[in-house]
Amino acid sequence: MGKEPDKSKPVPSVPDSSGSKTPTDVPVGSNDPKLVKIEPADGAKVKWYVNLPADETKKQGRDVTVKAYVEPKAAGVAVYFFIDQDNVSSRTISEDSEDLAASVAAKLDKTSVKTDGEGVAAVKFKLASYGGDKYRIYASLKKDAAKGDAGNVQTCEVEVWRKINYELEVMARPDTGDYSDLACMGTLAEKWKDLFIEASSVGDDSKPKFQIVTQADIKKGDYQKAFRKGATEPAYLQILYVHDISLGIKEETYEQKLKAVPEGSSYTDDVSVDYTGYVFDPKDWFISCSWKSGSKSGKFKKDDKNDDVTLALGVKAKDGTTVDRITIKSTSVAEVRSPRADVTITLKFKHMSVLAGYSYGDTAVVACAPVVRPKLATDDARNSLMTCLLHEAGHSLGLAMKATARKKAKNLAKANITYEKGGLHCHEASDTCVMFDTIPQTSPVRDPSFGDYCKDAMRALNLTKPGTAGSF
Amino acid sequence: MPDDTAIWLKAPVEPPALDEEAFGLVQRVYASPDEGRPCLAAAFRVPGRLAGMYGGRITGAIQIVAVDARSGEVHYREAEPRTGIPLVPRSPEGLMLPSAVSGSFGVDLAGHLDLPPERRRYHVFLWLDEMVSPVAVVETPGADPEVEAGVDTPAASPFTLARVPPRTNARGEAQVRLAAARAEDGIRIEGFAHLPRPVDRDEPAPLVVLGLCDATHRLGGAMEPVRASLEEAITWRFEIGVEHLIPARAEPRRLHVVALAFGVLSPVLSVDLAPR
Repeated sequence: MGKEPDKSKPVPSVPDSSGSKTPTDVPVGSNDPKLVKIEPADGAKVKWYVNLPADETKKQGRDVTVKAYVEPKAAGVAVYFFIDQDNVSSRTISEDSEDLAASVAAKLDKTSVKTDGEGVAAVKFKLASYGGDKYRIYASLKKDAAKGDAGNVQTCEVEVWRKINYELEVMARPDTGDYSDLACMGTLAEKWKDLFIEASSVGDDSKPKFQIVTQADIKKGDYQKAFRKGATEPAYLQILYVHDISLGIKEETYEQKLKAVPEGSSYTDDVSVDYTGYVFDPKDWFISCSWKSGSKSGKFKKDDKNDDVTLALGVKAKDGTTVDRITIKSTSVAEVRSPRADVTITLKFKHMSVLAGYSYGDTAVVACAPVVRPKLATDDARNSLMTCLLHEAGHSLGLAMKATARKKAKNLAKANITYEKGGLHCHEASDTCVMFDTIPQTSPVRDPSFGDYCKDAMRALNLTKPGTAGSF
Repeated sequence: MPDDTAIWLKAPVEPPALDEEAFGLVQRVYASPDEGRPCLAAAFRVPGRLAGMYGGRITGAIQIVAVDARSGEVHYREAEPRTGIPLVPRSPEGLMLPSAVSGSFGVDLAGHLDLPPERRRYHVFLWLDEMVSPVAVVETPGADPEVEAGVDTPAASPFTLARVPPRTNARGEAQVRLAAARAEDGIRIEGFAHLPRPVDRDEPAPLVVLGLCDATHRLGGAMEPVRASLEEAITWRFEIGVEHLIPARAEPRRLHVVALAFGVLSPVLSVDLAPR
């Protein structure tokens, strides 16, 4: 932590002249060659997208051709190039981590070149892949020149950026409409901008129909691939806002005791139970339901003809909250309606364990129901989901333990340490970083953001091909 | 959020049966068929109000606790996969609730609790608010530790500890019991640990007192080595301020407290911390 830039990197140092040197060692005389121009020309700062396929005309890739021009045009004039890296950021991450970019250094392929017949000397400058680094190249006819020396020419300032081409798919809600109002891509763009990542939309919202998506669906890949359109774009990331992500099925048994009643008396209400925080698949939740009273017993039926046990989603409880309610038609059975002995009703049912979000390869999935269910205010729900999106997209972009390391760790034993050290999530900034284990719900983060450690890690990521192997 | 392969939403082998009329937590230790790793098959039967409080995540409120039998080091984690969704208890008032809810789960202990890779012995129990399971003794496979784990005496012990005349109880059982006492300077947890028989090895054993926060379900606690006796029954009396049992950054309204000594777990003592 707090590591200084590695001075051993092959980046020429820049002596600071501070006006102390005189230009007396610069060739003088009207016929002496002078540097008159350099490309990219000095001027406004230029963003260079180092993770996109190399194309200098589009300011993409890590290589920048730097050309210095002398006049009168003459061949064989030695031109010296050096990098001004005063604006290079300090790093706090380890540069030799196997999980992060192995090389983030900027370098020139040559530091001196002789001009050709046109009086042009060209070098290749390789930008660091570290988002936010700023570089300027100087050319001089003098060896060991400093950036303030007379006769130098300088390029514009080039700033290292990365671009992510994202496609957003927003699922329909179970009732009406969809979750578009909770998917705030403008906020994502702002958050990423601070990390020198430009978010660029390459796909439209194809509104997947409502369904419970399982973790297995996503791992299989067919679900998300069914409506992805922009996958041929470089640096592609698919973002899915879905209702729920099911991790798996739990089975529970509910028991209700009814006291025996005197002869002539009976229960008038069916047995109901309110569930809050349970996630049911309305098509597959029932296992069995039976009753027992003394020596007598029987089953409540639930088949094509009978529906003694029903599940109603989203009904109002007595306290006004919205619950899911299971009702058993207990009054339809005489022995249960007017029991002479105590009754036990036993209902076995399935419900789902759900996830807040999931990352698999180049797909980041955010589940909306975990914040919609507790009825967060819209802004809070958006912030919670933004926390989740930054988290899952962070995994997809590379903030994650490598698959090989995970295999070595077997059962994810290292879950409680930061990913750089072989864990899954970041505990460097406690729960204030979006890469922490859980998303806030009851006390949502007003301004979800990465902690300093993860900000640095995000800036160091090589985003040429997003999509961390494995699932997170 | 990750896949989680060290816990199963339904116990893969049959857990012990629970008494039909009783609430409780039970566990059975078994060796995984592939690598012989120690696993638990566990079951719960809890009052319906807990279904109202924790919704479909009762297992998220159950803590699996493993205490190193020699060092007193505590490892714990909730009995559910990582979901990324915090467990927020709600009031069950106003809901139509069942009499009881039951279910099961299974867990690969070493994997789920991130236990050290070497051979060690643990006292393992399940803990859900006012309920605890019986203690199981679990030995993890692996090479013998390079350095034998021992009990470190804390530099500044929060305990007041004294050997007192041995207690007796009708069945001659080892016992650990707790009580709370309000004093001007706060709440103190008082207790005793009683071992009715002499032991054949003279080595310190950890006395561990743990607090479970009702809001966060995180654990805090303290440990102090105590010795059994080679010659006779022994009883240790101890006291500790409740503040030493509250997990960091937690502000519980109720703190559930247990003590473990000589492999014996106390019943849960629930302490109301709300200002009076």
